[in-house]
Amino acid sequence: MIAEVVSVLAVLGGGCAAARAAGIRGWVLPALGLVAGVSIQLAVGLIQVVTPLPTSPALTLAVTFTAPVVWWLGRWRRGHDVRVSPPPAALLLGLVAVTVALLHHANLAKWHTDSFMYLMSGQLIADGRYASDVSTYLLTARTLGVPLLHAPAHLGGGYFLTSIHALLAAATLAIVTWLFRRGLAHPAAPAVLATFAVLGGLLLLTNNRFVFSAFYLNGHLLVAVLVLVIAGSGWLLARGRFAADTPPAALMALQVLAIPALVISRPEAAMLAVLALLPTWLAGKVSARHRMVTVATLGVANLVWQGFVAWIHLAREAPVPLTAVGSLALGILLVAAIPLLRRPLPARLLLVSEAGLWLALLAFVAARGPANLVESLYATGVNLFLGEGRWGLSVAILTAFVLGCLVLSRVPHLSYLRFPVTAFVPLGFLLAYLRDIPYRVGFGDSLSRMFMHVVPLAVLYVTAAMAAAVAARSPDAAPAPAAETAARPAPDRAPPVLPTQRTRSRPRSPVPIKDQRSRLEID
Amino acid sequence: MVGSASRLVGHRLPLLLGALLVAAILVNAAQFRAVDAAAGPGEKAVYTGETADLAVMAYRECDWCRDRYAIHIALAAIAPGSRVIVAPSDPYLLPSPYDSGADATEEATVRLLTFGRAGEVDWLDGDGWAQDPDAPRLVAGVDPVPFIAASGPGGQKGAPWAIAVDPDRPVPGRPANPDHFLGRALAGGEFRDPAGEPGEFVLLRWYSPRYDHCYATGFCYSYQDLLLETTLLADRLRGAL
Repeated sequence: MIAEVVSVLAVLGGGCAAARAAGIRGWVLPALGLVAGVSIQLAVGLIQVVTPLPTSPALTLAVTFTAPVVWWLGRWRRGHDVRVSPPPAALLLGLVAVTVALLHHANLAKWHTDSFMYLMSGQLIADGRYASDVSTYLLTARTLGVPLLHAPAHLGGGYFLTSIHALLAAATLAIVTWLFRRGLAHPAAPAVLATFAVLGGLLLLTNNRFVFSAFYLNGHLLVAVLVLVIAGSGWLLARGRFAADTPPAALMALQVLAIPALVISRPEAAMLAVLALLPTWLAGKVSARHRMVTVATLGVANLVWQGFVAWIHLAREAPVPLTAVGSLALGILLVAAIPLLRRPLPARLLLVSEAGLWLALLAFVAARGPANLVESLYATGVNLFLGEGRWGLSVAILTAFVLGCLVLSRVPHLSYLRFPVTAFVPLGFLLAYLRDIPYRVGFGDSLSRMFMHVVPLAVLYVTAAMAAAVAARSPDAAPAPAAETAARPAPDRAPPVLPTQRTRSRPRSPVPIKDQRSRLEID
Repeated sequence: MVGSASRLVGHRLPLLLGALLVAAILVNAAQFRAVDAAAGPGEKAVYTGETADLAVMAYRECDWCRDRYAIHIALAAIAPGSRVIVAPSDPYLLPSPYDSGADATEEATVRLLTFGRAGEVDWLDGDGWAQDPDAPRLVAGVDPVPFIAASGPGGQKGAPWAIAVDPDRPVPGRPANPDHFLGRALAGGEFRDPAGEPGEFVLLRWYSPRYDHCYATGFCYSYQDLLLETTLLADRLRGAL
């Protein structure tokens, strides 16, 4: 238990130091700090695995904790406002330690046969045998993220950390709420925002599979929170409205940190990262440098990991799988595309990309026949709508909400949240063709479990869309305070001057619904 | 009429949307226990298992895991850190039946190193055997039965198995029926805190079917997976390894 407490506190402490040094403060710091810490842990672990460095989890944790703390100390000594109040910090660490201890003895872990494979990989990493002895199956199918996450358990003689997924679930809830509050910069009646924030949190908390994922030895929740942070940070950056406790540099840092962690957490995660990042690459208010840094990070992380996968296969005289070749090609394409991101990509690319995914699916159906899709659709329907996937009606209801918001909501900036959710659907069925195995009925089915990757983001999208619709009609609506718009990155081109910007200094008077809605349009 | 409806909805939009979310939350909450009730132990959202010990979970709660990993868990409980040699059972039948392809050999190696906690795993291509013209068939030369300390029935995902050890090797809690060894060892913490010393074992396919563990369909494995401590081998054979 001691080893697990130390491991979790090291990750949390390092992540909070990084987040605080970047400028994050307030109640969301522990949640974002945990995700940042896990992201750093996985990035450090990736470097250890692909280089001759020892893969000992002790080294991983040492770097994960020390490097951000050194950075924080440096910023503090240079006079930046990165101070941390000791009493709340001590209280937080104590609370987390107690939580870890309780969870360690609660025996709440859930598993699937894949869980054992992830944990075998984790042991190979802890024993320093990963590169020499990992099977090509574990390398390509189970990747590195979850094994690295749990490798520190071996410092205490265990196979997995009993508390990390529950802590990530709590962080996910907090981040959904925080993104909701920060992203809806239209300050309608506070009661409206607070109500929808609470309802969104409850919608997630009452989801049986979300609670299950808090204890499930797999990577779905990890992927979900990383997708949430990437897409959500991009949403805030693109809106160009920042609170004093979340400066743009911090959002950029969170987004960039999450990318390599996501790439190594699932075989298809690089494609998911593209979906989560694409809206950021379209946003004029996001600085050119950040757009290029994100595409470079995704491309390089993909090349490093898939290059390692290919190298292992070649060293064992095994054929390099097509998925690795495809991912390497994607990595090369992304790196080559860096200069293109000097200017924001055309806005219509969102629609083109999503349509392109559906067309690609149709192309596969035409080329290989409809059997895979038909079987997958049937299985997915039974899993998500008839209870076989253990979702109950939660995904059916969420799907209806998403479709309703898609049709009825006229708030363009919500596309940053909506796009990864809706584009996931054709991607999911495409993956069935790429692996040449249709999905199946049952809890263990891949796609049924993979839907968790976008559920938190979908909840955020739905509650944000609903709250925005309500806020637009609220008689209490008032313009955003000037302080929130102070820290804005220099746009690559001057944003269009909206009629409301000219009238911001005038006292408000009741405005027809059509004009109220236009105030929410940023892009 | 459309305008009236729109105005009606507009005035009540906050209530309507809030009610939709509340209804969704109530449906989630109402179904929560029903979903868990229909799920197996490892699939429930709220379920307290008896342990967080992965080996115990694999053995007691996961049929497929027990079939695949039981022999390895038993090895780790008896002799962690051992060298495991995968060799052909018959010097004239090469390679080892476990060497059925890169995927199979990699998977076998990973299981031995992780659940089996082997110190090293060596795959023999049988040259040493083939050079000894008088080398008897291994399993005919040694009868492992008196030396079996642990065994298991196997299942859908794995053959029956046995571990035969040197008579001088202490095996704590060794039951009269070796099929009961692993359950007792896990309960006694022998996997988590093993007391055994590393040794050297050879993994063989032992063509001695367990007719007491056939499926209802009548299918029986024609062999058992056997981990045999090499001190039980004749010196000549041990040298060939």
